[in-house]
Amino acid sequence: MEISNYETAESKTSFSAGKLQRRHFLKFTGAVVLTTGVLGCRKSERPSGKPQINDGSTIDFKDDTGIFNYIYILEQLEAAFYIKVSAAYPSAFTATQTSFFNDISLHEIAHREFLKDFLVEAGIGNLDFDFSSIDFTNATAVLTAAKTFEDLGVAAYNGVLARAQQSFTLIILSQIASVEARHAAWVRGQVITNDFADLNALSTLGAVDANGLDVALTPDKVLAQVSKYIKTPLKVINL
Amino acid sequence: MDILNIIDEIGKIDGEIYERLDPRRKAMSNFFNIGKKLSMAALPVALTGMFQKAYGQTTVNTTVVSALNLALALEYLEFNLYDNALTATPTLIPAAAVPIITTIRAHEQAHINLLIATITQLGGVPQAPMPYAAFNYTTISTNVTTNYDTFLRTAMSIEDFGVRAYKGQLPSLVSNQSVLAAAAQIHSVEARHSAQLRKMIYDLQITNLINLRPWLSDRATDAGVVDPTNYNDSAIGALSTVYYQDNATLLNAENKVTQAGILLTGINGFIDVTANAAAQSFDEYLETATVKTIANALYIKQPYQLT
Repeated sequence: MEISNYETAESKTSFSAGKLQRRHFLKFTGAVVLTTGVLGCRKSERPSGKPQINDGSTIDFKDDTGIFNYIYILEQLEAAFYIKVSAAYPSAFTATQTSFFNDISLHEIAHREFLKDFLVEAGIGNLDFDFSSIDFTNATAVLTAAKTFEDLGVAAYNGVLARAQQSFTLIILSQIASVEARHAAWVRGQVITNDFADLNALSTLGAVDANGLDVALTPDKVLAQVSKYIKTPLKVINL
Repeated sequence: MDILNIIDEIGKIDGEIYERLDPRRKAMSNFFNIGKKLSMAALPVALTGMFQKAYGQTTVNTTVVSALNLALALEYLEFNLYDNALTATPTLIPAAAVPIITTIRAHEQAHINLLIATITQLGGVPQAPMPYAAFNYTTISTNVTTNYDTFLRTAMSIEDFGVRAYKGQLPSLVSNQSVLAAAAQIHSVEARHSAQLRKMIYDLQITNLINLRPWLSDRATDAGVVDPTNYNDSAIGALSTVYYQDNATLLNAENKVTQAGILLTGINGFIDVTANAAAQSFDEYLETATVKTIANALYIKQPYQLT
């Protein structure tokens, strides 16, 4: 027997750790103006009483907002890539590949839009991308690009998780990270059979096969690898 | 100041000084590395720190150690399934799949080794090794050692469970950044295992599971009908707790469509983001108490059950 748990409209408004934590997070980032109390206990470098409003292109790593903006770049990149793929799948794609790519595309859109709604004024704007180096009609080229983006995505999440100042941030990042790892495992297997977790090959992205550890890269290394696809100038500070 | 002389002097009083220091070789090497950079004035402080570690004067971080020990128990659960299949029932796994299962087993063994080393280094006591006999792998069927489909589905459920459990332990590791980072890296390897096993099950097109995905999804029938109220895509009712919520407060079953108060279904006008896509796009955690309850109920026998 399977128990059902559809989240009803009522249950969404009931107590949930995630919602409470989010409120703390917003206070901390300054998206909500707070003059006394909670913030007073924290060493915030931000001028007090001033809401954090992003100029549209700044990734400031001084707190968790920077981490969220950083992964927002990568989710925008992934979503833009998969949307372009799904507009006209390579003719050599199998039915399964088309179906699973469609799934992945929707996941990346959900991640991107979640971050947009989550960050609101503290978020960077919509970025422009340049995928001219990828031949979208060629199945191998598309699969190889997808593999690169997914492994880099996992490396990015694993590389910033430990920097999270709030448990809430840690949990949300890990919730997305494992989905990206699922993508990476499946896509890798489409390029090379059963190549789902070749940690030796992935050592260039920080994996350690001897310890069974997956990829992990610092933001500067990830951004260096994806910068050729991003047309919008970005300011990265306090890295 | 001659540090080695001091250690020798202590040796005259405490014959076990080298043994005390030795199991924490890392503490010593850390100390010697630090020593290169420290001024003589700061040296006694660092030295005190090393001896505190050696003599267990510092408080062991039980939060971190407990989290790692829970992870260790689950690694034994995973490892023994694969190890038994590869060694005790070599005909169970088709030749083409042997390298895959071998790779996964190697990762689990590496995780076990790393967790034991880390727990020991932190001054904790690692969970005692758990043999194959400690575990019950027959929740899906008693034919787990003879039927390849059952083996894969059992492995899938255990990996899915492991990913959720690791996620739930990450907040307990925040006091130690390097341990937290490593746990995150193990966590995503487990997610890769889950995806690969799900892909292998998909490839077999098993009845009731022909629409299984590499990512946790709402239950879909073979006709493609998705049920957004059903979070258990394993199609095994007995495994439903693996995919269900922690409790009535945390509505974090695997069909969850709202994250941080933001509804993902149809988000910002993207109507293609269905409830199923929304649920797939975020994996859910399980907290310690729930993990232990599920582990004991489904996978671990007495007297090895988790307390």
